[in-house]
Amino acid sequence: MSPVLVRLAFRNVFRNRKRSIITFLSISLGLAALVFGQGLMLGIGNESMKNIIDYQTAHLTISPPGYLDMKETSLSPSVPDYPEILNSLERLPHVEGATARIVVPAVLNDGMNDLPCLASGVDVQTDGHVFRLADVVAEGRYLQGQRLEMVVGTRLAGQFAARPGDRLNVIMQDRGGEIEVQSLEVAGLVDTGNPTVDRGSLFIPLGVMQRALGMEGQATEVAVRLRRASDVGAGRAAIASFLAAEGLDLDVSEWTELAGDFLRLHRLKKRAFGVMTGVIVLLAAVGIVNTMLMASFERTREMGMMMAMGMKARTVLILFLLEGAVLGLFGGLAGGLLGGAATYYTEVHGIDIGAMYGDIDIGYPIRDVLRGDLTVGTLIGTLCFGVVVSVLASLYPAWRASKLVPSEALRHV
Amino acid sequence: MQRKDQIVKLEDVSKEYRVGRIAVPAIRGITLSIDAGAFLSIAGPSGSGKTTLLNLIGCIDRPTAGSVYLEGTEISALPSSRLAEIRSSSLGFIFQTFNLVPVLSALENVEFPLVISGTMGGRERRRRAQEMLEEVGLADLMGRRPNELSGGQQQRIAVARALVKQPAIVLADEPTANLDSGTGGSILELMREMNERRGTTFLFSTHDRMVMEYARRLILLRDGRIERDDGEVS
Repeated sequence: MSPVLVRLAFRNVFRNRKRSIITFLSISLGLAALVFGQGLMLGIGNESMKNIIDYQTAHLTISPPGYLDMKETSLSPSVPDYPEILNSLERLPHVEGATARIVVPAVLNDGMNDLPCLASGVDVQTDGHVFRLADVVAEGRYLQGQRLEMVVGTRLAGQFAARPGDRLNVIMQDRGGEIEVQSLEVAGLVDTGNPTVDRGSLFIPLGVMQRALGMEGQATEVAVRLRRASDVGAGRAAIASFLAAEGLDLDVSEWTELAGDFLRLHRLKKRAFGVMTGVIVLLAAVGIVNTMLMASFERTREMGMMMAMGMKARTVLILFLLEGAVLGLFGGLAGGLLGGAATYYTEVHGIDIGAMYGDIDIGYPIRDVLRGDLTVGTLIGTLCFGVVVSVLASLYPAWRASKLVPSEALRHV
Repeated sequence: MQRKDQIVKLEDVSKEYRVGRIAVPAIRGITLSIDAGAFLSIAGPSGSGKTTLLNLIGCIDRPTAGSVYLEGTEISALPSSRLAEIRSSSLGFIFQTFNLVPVLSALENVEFPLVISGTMGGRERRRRAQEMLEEVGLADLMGRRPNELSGGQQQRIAVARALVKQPAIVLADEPTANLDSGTGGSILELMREMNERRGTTFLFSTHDRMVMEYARRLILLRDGRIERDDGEVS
């Protein structure tokens, strides 16, 4: 392809400045929306996943076979000899920390009202190696030692208007099927931004839980944090082979299995967002078709002249497609800059959803501030997408121009 | 058969255009031969078939009946891509409204036919275009765009563009119609000079008497037929 042809395509695009600017605007605004939306979805997705891992699932969970199906029932089987497993896990590759928990369904009661929730017995010494609950205490303090106390999700506590220092009853079923009522002082309230935790979880020292349920020396699961989230596959394999070598009949589950509902919903939202931006980009593409058709009408005689000079139909087609590509390239650059700047702003400053929506659940486990995530991949992808859409939108006008008959085109007024 | 020095030959050529269901004849059974190096004017009133005849010779249009030979090759039945190649290699065109590309400079406009033919590299192309502009006396305006040039200058650029690839034939459709008589005369002088210096065959259509006087051979068309052919005048 001759550089002259490329130069010609560039200059032709700027021939009708007003029209080109309007077309650029429509492409760039469409693509800016795409970059911004994608960045926001990516940021929200990443932030949500981090939240789920930090406060809800950890990276990996070691549990007895069938635990995932029976979780949240009081008949959950338990992990035997968990202290030995914890010791060994720390030496395995990829593992940053591990902790044992007992997770059972419970009812929280203030003497008047009941609310169902999930009670977790947490090892105060090691839980912080895996979970980040201690960092998100909104009121009061985190658990200390084996006191008869608990920390409660802010929204759950809010239902009882409970504050640190208040006492609430936790009703659970022990291994023998007997109802156990523990009157515990609220040590603190945790605000994770994760509705599952904030609205429906409370945390009790593991020893207190073990004694209450008659599960001394037992846990229902061992949660594992890895050094990097991307190590999940390798970490799981290393742990599974260690468990097999020790002859322990335990399953290892990834956080994606435990947060399957969230991930499915997130995928669905991403798809819905894709359809929405697809419509925006389609509208921009209609603008490109219009611009290129106008150009092909206006330049009919010029095309006739070029064809009379021997320019082949294929070259005419290429020239118009190049013009479409130039429109897409500039639109993509402008859209990338605009959308990138907006996304970067949200990445640095965030969007304070607390201030905007108050206590309304936005459907994502995120603490107060939404942050976009701007990646080079999104920018390059958008630029390529802009060029491809523009070239596709130019196909018909280009084909029409290439089908001109020189003698008729030269007569065109 | 076509004689060696005959560059164009038409045998009983007709051309009809269809307007709806009606066939409108533009050329009716023309037989004609043109020698290489001719400086020939096709004259006649509007609608007499001048442009159609030029288009047939210029491989821009195909005859409805008859045969057109160009440098010994029968072109009527050739595929469009081959006709485009012939136009690119052997023919130069000058148009009534100059038809320069407005976004290209004078130099780039002259260079453009060489870009289309794709036969030479950028540097050589540029050198040839510069030489051509010097020949038409516009070397110092080579960076200007068409809208920065007068009508006469634009048509000079068009002449340079038609000649830059050294075609065997240059076809000019009413080349002076949009110019005042003085400028038109200088364009005709330029064309004649190129014809004499380079031996390029020039065929031009006109209904301007001054242009007819410049021609060494004059063919008068009326209603798609040759009314008069003066033959070659030295």
